[in-house]
Amino acid sequence: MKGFGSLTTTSFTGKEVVELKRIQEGMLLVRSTGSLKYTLDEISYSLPIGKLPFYIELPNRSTIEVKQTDENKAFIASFFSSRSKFIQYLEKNLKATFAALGVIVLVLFFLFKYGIPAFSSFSAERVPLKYLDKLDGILIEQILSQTKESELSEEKKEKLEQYFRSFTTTPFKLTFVKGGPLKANAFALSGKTVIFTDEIIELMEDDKKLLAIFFHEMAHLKYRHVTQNIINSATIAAFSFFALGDIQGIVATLGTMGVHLMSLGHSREFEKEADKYAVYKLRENNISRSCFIEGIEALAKFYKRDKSSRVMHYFSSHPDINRRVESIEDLFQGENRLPCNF
Amino acid sequence: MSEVYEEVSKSSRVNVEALGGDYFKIWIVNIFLSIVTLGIYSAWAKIRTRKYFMQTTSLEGHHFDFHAKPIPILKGRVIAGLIFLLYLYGSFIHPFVGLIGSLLFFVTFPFFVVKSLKFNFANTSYQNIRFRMIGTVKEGYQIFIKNFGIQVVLSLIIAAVSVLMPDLIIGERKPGVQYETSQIVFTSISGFIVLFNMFYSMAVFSRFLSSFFNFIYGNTYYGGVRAKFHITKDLVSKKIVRPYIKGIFIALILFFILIVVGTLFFKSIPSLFVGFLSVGGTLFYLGLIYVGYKMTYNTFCIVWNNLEGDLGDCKTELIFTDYFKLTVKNHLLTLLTLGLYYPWSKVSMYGLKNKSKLISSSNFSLAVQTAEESESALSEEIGDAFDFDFDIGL
Repeated sequence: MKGFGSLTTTSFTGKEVVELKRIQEGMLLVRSTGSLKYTLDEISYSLPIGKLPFYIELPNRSTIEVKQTDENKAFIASFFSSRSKFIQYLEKNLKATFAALGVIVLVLFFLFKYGIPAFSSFSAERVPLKYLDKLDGILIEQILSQTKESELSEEKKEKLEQYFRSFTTTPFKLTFVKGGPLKANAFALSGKTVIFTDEIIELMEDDKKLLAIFFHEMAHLKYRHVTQNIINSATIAAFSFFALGDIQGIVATLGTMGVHLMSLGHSREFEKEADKYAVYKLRENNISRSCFIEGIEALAKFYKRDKSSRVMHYFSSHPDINRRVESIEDLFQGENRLPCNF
Repeated sequence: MSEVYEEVSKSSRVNVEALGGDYFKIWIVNIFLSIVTLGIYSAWAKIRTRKYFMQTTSLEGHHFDFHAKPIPILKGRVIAGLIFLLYLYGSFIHPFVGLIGSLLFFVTFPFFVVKSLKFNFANTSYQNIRFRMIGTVKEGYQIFIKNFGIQVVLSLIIAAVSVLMPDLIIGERKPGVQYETSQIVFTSISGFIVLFNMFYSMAVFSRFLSSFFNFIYGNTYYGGVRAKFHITKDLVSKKIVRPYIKGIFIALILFFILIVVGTLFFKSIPSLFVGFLSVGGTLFYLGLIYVGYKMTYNTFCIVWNNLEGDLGDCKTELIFTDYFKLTVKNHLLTLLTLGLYYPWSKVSMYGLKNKSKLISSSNFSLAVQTAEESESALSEEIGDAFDFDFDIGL
């Protein structure tokens, strides 16, 4: 196999056209002044980039530039394995590039939509509870630093705890706080901790609604949603660092935005899962699902999120209120819904 | 006038032949193979990207090239990536692991930066002659320690005390129990240290940038010929840091005025108030982007207008309005195409910056004569890579 290239040396500024022959030991360089034989160890070369020429570096810092023409095709190909040729084919062929783009989109979609969540769920289940309790300790310190002490009487706190405990044998740790950025809120941490604010207790009025919210939070603990979220983020960060290293700047920002929107999507799935758990637990205890629905409706009204917005839905960690109620009603297939205080 | 014309006429302009469409294909294939190989190909991808840009950049008909081998990049990437992840997520495992992660990150950062610089310089060539950066890791540490040592040590002390003595952190409250004096003292000291670190870092930033650039470019060799580069702290302060701080300050004041005006006149109409504040917030954000662009532009110009040596002097004719317009256009189109415009954006910015560079009186025979003696020193630089994007600046 032979080809033609331009030889550049450091001793002169021009270029000399040379003939090249691929021989068993390496390469034969034919110049006007004579021929030189090089073994493959003596020369250095790498796979041409896209349509750029193939460069061969000689030991004396001279370089041969071999253009990717039809007559040089076989000569260049003789230096590379079929795997390398496949990379070249992809880089030069527009259809193949778009096919690769399609595969990227599909792989990323399935990875972020199903792969990473499945991995997070699998890993979260296997984290020992004692570590999650330690993590709760760290998180609770941060929460307490932003809130005030609960103003509920010890009697009220104890009564509520007793009430919740009468419906579950699963261990939990109840904490009450007031004010700060949390306002009317209840949430679960990663281990056994469930936090209620004074404001949500005041807003719910009825203990049965609080129980419904409690069941929802217990679902977050049962399915380890917080732990799953942490593993999700760490996995996405690791994947982005190692696999998407070539994405930079604003694309990285866009990627982060996309990943963030997907994370919010996962979060909404967690909420739906917790809603489902809560209403089934209520039915198991002969309490109307209205207690949960009225509870979340009161919260939506409190936060002025009682109107549905298709766009804002995608930027929220919780599904919008109407979707939540619809999903719950779908579970009961038109079964009569009694009022909460029935 | 004729003198200026003569000077310019002797200079050679850097030429760039990279095309957005060609780079798009390379970029997509790089991402595709990196994903398929779970990140392993990313080291090869990095090299192919850099090779593409170097091989399409030329001066006086001769192109640049990049010669790195992927395995050192892959190894360095894994090490740097693990330390970075430990730094980011270590505290979720245990606060102590987080502390170790932070310590490792800060302690190894200068090492990674210097090693990456040396690696990237040593693997870049022009006319078959390699560049070299002879600055040592020790000198790199000296620069970082001199400028950021105090801040890092103070931050690590606070973090270590928080981990080892969690009772000092204000947070856990019990009814009727007052804060301990030690908690109040610790919180006050922590707050003071945060403020001190912020203002001290701002105060020494000009000194840091000037010494860092002097370290990189003053230690650069092409073949056996050393570049001459020296910029003063005052120049960096005047051209880069002060305009940046001034810009942020002006943007902050304007934003504050908007909030006051909005509160005074529109608070009774919530929708108008929110709209007014959103416009103000957007303008503030755009202001920050503008000063950021200006800072990047000024940094580029300072470096290229002060780089000289026995091979000739460097100069850039980059005009800020061209740079600004292209940056805005690139960002907008990248956003509108959901990132797919990125290759064209990268190529156009690379072209604009490099085509603005003029190198006068290229005495390359001197570099060739001295290249032999510099080759033997290259092996150490070529050996390590930690995948930080500090490179030759082309």
